[in-house]
This record gives sequence, C-alpha cells and structure tokens, in this order.
Amino acid sequence: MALSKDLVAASATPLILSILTRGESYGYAIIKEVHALSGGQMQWTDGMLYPVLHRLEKQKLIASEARKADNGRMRKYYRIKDQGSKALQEHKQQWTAVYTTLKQVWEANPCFS
Amino acid sequence: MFQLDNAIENWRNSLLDNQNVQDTDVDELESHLRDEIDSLMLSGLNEEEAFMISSHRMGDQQDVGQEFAKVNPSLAWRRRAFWMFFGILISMLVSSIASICSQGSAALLTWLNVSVYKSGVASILIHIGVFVVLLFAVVFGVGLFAKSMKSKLSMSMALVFCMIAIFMLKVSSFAINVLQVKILHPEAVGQLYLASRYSIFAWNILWPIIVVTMMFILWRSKPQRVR
Repeated sequence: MALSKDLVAASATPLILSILTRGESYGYAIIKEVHALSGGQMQWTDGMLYPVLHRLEKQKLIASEARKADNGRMRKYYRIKDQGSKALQEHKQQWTAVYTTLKQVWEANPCFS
Repeated sequence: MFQLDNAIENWRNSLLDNQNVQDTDVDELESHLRDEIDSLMLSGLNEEEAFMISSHRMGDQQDVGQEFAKVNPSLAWRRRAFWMFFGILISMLVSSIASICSQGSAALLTWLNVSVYKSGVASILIHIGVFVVLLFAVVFGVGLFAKSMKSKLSMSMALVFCMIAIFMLKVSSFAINVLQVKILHPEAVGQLYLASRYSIFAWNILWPIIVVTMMFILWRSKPQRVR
C-alpha cells in the first residue's frame, strides 16, 4: 500500500518537525528515518524533501547550519526552533482530531472495517 | 567508461539550468546524492548503477525545480533583473571603450597633422569597428561565463568589475579631452570639436541600426546549449 500524494504532502511537515524534535538531523538521514519508521510505506521522492525543509526554515520553524560531516562532505544540519515546537503541537492536535473522528466512525459501524 | 564525478557534474548543471534553483540548493542535493551512492555501493552496486538509482530517487529535475520555485518565487525574477542590469552595464562598458578608442585616435591623427576631416572619418570607423567586435565578443563570452555566473559572489564580482571599468574609462576619456585641449593648437581643437560633433551625430544614427542588425544575425544563428 502506497500513501496518496496528498496525504504524503500533508504529513510531511509534522513528520519532519517530529523527527527534528529528537535532535538535529540532515536531509538524507531524515529520508532514511521516515522510510524506516513507516516500514517502507512512505516513499518520498528524495529531492522533494529539500524544498519542504527550506520552506520550514523560511517560516522560522527550523534553523539550519552547514557543517563538514565526518566523511569530509559539507552537510546542512537542521534543528527545530521554539516556534517549530509550537507548530508541531498544533499539527498533533489536528491529526489526533482526524484520527479519533475516523476511529469513532469505524468502530461504530463494524461493517466498514 | 563511466566517470562518477563527470556524471554528477552534468546532473548538477542540468539542475542549475532551472532558474529557480540556487547553487547552495544544488550543493545540498549533491551531498545527499553522494551519500546515497556510497550506501548503494556498500551493498554491492558499481558506480554507474549506484548513480542511476540514486539520481532516479532524487526525482524529476523539473518537478524538484518547481517545488523550489514555490519556496523562493522571486528568485527567477531577480536573476532576470540581474541579467538586464548586467546587459545595461556591459553596453555602457562597450560603448565607452569604443568611444574612447575613436576619441583617442582622432586626437592622435590631428596631432600628427592629418586633416581634421580624414581623422573624423577614421574615428567614426574605429568607433563602429570596436563596437561591433566587442559586442560579438561579449555575446559569445557571456555564453562561456554564464555557467559560472550562478552564485551570488560571482554575480556581484561581475557587476563590481563592470562598474570599476566604466569609471576608469570615463576618467581616461576626461583625461584625453583635457590633454587634447592643452597639447593641440587652438584652431585644431576647434576643428576636432566640429569633427567630433559630426562623428557623434553619425554614431547616434548608426548604432541602433548596428544593434538591430546584430540581433538579426544572432537570431538566425543556431542557439548553442551552454554546458
């Protein structure tokens, strides 16, 4: 089962913010983590992650810093800012609202499941 | 024989052809691409296979460019504005060089006792010749430099260089004017002034014709892709 494009796009921001809550990270590692967390069900086109990261940075939800990685390559590391944590709380509430609503409907009508 | 660095360089360049992508964006994507290639090669693929798969996973370059455009919508327009201003500066530079050549040669010929009208004709011909040659040089030169003109640093360096060059040319044009008044016989200065009025008049009529002609020539010639 592959997730629809709209759902992938809508969940990208809360997913990135949540991963960055665990500590700073960079694009490649974020992609790998999303892949692992979703058990391979969420496939992002790698290049599409970066415009999202840059947009979040422009909205001041995350900050970036370019540093040399252990392998000698320059890498841009992202970390979450206070404003980003606040935004993530809102996302959580919204997703929880959607999830609980759907769950109630599905549990009330067993024939759907 | 597959060359990984060449393949990555080509991949970078075609991504940079998109006007919405900056070179820092491409650096970040390249770092990702190389990480992916390394990990694929660890699992036993060769360089070429690893490159093919990881560049495919990066996604279609047009699509990625469009996503970057949404983040930074003014970038493409700022680039176009840069090229417009750069064009104005370059045309100022080219016409100052051409006019200083014609000015200097007219003064020199008058000083060598060549008749004022002959030196006037010579100066207008030199003016046109230098202008056309430099304009062609610029058109083909910019094509060669366009690839390296994508970072902010090289863009601002080019602008500053043009400004300094124009300033120096204006100063030396002023110096030539003062020198010819001081060195030449007063009557020759008057004649030279008259000749230069004719020459400037002719130039003002001719240069739009020259520019339009050149546009037609360049328009008809096959566009070359800058690599």
